[in-house]
Amino acid sequence: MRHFNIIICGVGGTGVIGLGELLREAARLEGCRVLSAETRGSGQRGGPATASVRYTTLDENEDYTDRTALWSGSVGVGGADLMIATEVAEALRNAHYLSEKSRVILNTFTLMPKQTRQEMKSKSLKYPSIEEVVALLHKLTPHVYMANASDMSMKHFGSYRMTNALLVGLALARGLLPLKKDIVKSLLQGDAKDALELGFQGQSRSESEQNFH
Amino acid sequence: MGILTIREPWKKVLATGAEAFARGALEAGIGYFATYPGTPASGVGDSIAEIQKELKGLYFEYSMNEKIATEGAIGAAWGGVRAMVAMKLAGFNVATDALFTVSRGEVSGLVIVHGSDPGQQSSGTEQDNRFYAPFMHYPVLQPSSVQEAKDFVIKAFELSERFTLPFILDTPSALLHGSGELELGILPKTFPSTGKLRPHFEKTVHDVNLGRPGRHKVLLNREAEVKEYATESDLNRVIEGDADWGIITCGMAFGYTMEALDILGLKNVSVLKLGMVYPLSPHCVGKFLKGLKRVVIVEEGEGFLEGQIKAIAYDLGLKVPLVGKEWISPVGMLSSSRVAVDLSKGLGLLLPRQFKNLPGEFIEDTERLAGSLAFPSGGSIPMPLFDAPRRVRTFCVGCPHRGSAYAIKKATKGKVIVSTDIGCYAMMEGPPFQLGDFKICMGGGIGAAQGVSRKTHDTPVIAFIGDSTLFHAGLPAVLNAAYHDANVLLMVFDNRWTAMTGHQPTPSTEETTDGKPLRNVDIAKLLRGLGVKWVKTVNPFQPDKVEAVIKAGLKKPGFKAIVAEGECALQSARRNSVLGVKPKVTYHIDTEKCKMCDICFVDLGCPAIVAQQAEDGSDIYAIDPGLCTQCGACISVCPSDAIVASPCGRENDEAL
Repeated sequence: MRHFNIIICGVGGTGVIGLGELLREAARLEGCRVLSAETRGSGQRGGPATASVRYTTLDENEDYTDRTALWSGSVGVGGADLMIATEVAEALRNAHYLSEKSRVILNTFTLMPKQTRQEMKSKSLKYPSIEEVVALLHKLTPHVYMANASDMSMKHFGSYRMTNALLVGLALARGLLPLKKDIVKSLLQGDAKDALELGFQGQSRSESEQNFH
Repeated sequence: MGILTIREPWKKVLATGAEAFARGALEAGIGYFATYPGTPASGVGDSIAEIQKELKGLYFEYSMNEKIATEGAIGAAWGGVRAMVAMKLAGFNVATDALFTVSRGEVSGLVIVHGSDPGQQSSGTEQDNRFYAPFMHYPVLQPSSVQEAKDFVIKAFELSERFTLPFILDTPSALLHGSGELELGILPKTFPSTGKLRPHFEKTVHDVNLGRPGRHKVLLNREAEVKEYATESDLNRVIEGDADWGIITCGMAFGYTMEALDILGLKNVSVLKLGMVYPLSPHCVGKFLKGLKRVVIVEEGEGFLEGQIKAIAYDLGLKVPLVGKEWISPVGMLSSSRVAVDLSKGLGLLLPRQFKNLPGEFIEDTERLAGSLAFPSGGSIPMPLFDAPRRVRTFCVGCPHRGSAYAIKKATKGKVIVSTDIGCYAMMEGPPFQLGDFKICMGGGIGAAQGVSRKTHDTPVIAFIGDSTLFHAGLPAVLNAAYHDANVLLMVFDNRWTAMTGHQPTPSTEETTDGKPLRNVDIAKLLRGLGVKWVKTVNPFQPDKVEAVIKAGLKKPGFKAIVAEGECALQSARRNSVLGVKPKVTYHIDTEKCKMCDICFVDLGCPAIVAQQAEDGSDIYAIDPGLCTQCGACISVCPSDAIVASPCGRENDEAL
């Protein structure tokens, strides 16, 4: 019996919940048993958003038992096999899910909290740089992959909406997600199919290398 | 595709807990479902609302409050059909008046889904409502998985009919909002549109016999029968092990416990999983306790099982040490990690590797761990490893409440006592508005404002309420305030929807998101009908005008009301998208005229107004066209006429 635990983190309104739905449906189609959990409510209103997806695959002649099955949709402390952070600071907020085995896909996108305008005005609001975030994550795991999927989405599709499909494509290309590309693709529509491919293949080699290192 | 209407028995699907409860009700062949939305329980009713037209015979309603929903379901159950209600913990408080009384009568085929909220992600209190059960003498079931959510609903209907008692399913947000595998059963072809009065209706219900002396005894006898049933019930089961100690657990805590035992490598501990947490069978519990050297009770919330189990052990003369809340705090949400840490501390074990990065204070105090693992929606909870910038929720772009808040702040200059209430406008409590001195419960703001106003004569008192909350529990309070003429200004924020819980319709909803008109209640007329003499209607997207009306209102003695009418921006946007309505204008900031006075950027705080750098490197404000909903509030507040509307070029041409 093998388990695979994914934590997706970002900001409400940027498709975190939708990305969780995509990854759990794809795993179900691959025959995994799937559990998931997610933030509700304030996540829609610019708060931190998190989704957690857990897969179980059985080996031959194996069955689920009360003692070996997963029961909770939430990933535990140090339990993430993969973190997809769609915003840099949110990777820090959720770092306790990481261990030295975890892989992190860090979308190099920054979304300043909008509500504390006074703090922004007085410049007292300190926002961590991408380099600072990566350095902190490296204290936990060497496997941090940066991707500027938001910029790629804006460049190729004219909006940020294809960011998550690009991230999934990039993750699949690197073998970070135990899913088949065709199955994920079958769940996407329109531009998102193209974005997945773009992320997977890289429009040009150089862009891919530049965007994902 | 929705899983509620799939007619393929034994098919395995992925479902949320909320959907599984709803599917269970459908497979049980209910004839009546009523609910008032409330996170985390809203999804149960919402998933039925979506497909109700496809289900012939099933009556569904969003009731005005949980008490009415419950009373309706009780009536329908008497009328001979199976009935279900779903509500959140606070809603259960509202429904208890009906439930306490009816327990003395008889009702069968009634199941209540109760959504608890350990960790208080979306509730005013953290309360363990299972404690109502011994008080009311109603049985309570706690499912541990999405599959059990459905299976237990069906079982609960059977048992409710067998014992002529309502059955309560208690479930936390983790199950309602989580997803897992669900094996479907058989969906009935039709649902009962008519029923036959239940036999007990004649005997105990009609003729006002409900609260007759002697009924108390009947109720206790029925509870004893359920206790007897619990001895043999397959709702409770043991996962056998040969260790000399054991665990008793229930609900989601069962799964956390099994995962925690796996994390700690404790594979031989016996576990008693209780599906029915009230009443407990002394026989079943006693059998498990006998021969064990120690038993740990793992449950989310307070020591509900713990108290019952300790009483059973005492009665049976068992000396086995029992530990529960001493190890696992009643505060906050449980999780596998938290149970693993608490068990390892209690048992004196070393924590496994995955916890090695966790700071000591999170291991010492696992309530802190609960906060960081519960996906804190506030965004201001300190996290274990690294600090991340505070990210608190705010009004959506185009929200009518933003203009109202700005106007209230401006009109009162903060010299006001604000009695607020439950709904999106509670976000006025945060920056930049800071409007809201206290908040009690649904509809509680008006009542509290009256009391405060009697004793604080120097400071004006404003009570806040939204449309759905007004209908829920505000109307008697308005009548009271008007009748006794309390010196309070009532602000009604009518955004046309029960917005915060996911946009359920309410009597003030004018039009569905696909453009169908609905029966609409005019709140200003309603208030006048209740005796409020001074009622004004304002447009919150023109905060300058709202400000003037508020100033005028505060000068009037006695009880007066202002209704701010502006639809929730998310729903307007959905309708525009469905109907293909394109914006006619775009807004931008004329940097020549803009004096960077910060009124729109800081005081109004619209997220669509962004700080940028001009080509010459100077700081400017701009409107993000991807975010702006053209609500116009910023135009109204700008003192420099720097915000300009211009017609949309291409879309407009196409429309012509």
